[in-house]
Amino acid sequence: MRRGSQLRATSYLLAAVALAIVLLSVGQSLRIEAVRGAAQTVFEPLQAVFAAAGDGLGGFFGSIASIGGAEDENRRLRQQVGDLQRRLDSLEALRATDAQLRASLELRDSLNIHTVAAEVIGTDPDGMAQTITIHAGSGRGLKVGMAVLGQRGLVGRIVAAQRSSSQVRLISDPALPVNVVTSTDHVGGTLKVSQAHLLMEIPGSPIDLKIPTGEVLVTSGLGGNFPKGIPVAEVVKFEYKPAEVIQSGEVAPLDDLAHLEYVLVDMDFVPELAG
Amino acid sequence: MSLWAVAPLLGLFTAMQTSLVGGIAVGPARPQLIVVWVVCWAVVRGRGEAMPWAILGGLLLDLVSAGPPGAHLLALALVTYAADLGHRFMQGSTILFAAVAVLAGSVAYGGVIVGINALVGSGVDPAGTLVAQVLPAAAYNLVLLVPIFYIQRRVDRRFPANVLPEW
Repeated sequence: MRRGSQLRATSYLLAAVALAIVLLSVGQSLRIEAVRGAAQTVFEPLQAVFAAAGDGLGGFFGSIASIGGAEDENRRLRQQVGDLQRRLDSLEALRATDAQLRASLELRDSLNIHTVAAEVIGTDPDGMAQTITIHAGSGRGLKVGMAVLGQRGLVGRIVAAQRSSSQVRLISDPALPVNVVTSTDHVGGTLKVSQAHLLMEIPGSPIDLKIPTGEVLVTSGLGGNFPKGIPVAEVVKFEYKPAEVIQSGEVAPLDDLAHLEYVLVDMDFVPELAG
Repeated sequence: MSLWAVAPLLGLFTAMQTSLVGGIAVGPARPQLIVVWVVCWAVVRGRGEAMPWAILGGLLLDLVSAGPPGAHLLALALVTYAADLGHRFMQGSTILFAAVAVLAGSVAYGGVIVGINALVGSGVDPAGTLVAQVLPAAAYNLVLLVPIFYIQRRVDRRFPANVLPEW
């Protein structure tokens, strides 16, 4: 087997390390976001195609698993079952998508807002940054800072918008705190991510504060980053600790942020702080 | 193999990594197409040929990622450079050697990305992310390794390189 030269490889490594250090140090001042936006415009058509293929593949794997269980049937019946199972999985996927869209529309109607629906076509390549790419952009009136909703509530905010796609930072990202209040007692706090857990922090809380499990948190509108009154998360666990100045409880987003397929962008809200 | 011939393929893998991979993820385990492809090529053809692919692949991933710019470039370059170190002790390229390289490379790649995110204060939980995402991704990469290694071995035999080995 033949190999490239050691010197050439080392030169490439040194160049790569130097370039990486430059990008890490001054990437923001080099308008890297503008370059990323241009790259996103190039990748967006491919992402839309692969996103649809990805949904289909998930159903195909499920079909394989269910086919494997049909051991006692002959080859012809097994083939029929397989075909029917694939059609059923396809219909189930369509039904799930239909249910998602209906739930999103119900949320929109309950909030009485104008929205633009968009398909989720991309995620962060490593899954570490909590961002998604949606198939709608400035061409449909989307702007940086607009709130993005799922089926049950707020899921994030637009942080970059190209012509036909946008990047959305999710509420599970530590860089996106959300000011909320409890839906019953209007106790104010902030949603923050700490060690991969979503928490509600309440500074200066009343003594012996009690927040029941399942309590829904809605946006307070404070800070002007999100519209007021949008459901965001529900309380999973809250225990009042007298010695703590800032009380915190564990919460869970209302939507499954890892499996978003369609979202709604709130077109009525004009953000005070963009990006 | 010319970088210009491979560049469209790396672009395709980049688009797939951000969209298709989510559909075939198993829980938190997401395969890393470009990492497996580049590390395998380093095993098959050596780091000299794989490094340009690592640089281009890393830059493409940085362009579509919301993380710190340069993180993927640095991680992929380091991992690819180290990928064929085993050739100092063992000649030839076997699936076992490739598996060890991909597994170790995937963990190291994830570790570098997590480390950089922690350094810039992006809020990523290092230990939790390593356990919950990096290790499962490394295991998933071993599954991808089989078809990718097979394809690259065929390409290597069909289009052998002209550069003589160092050793």
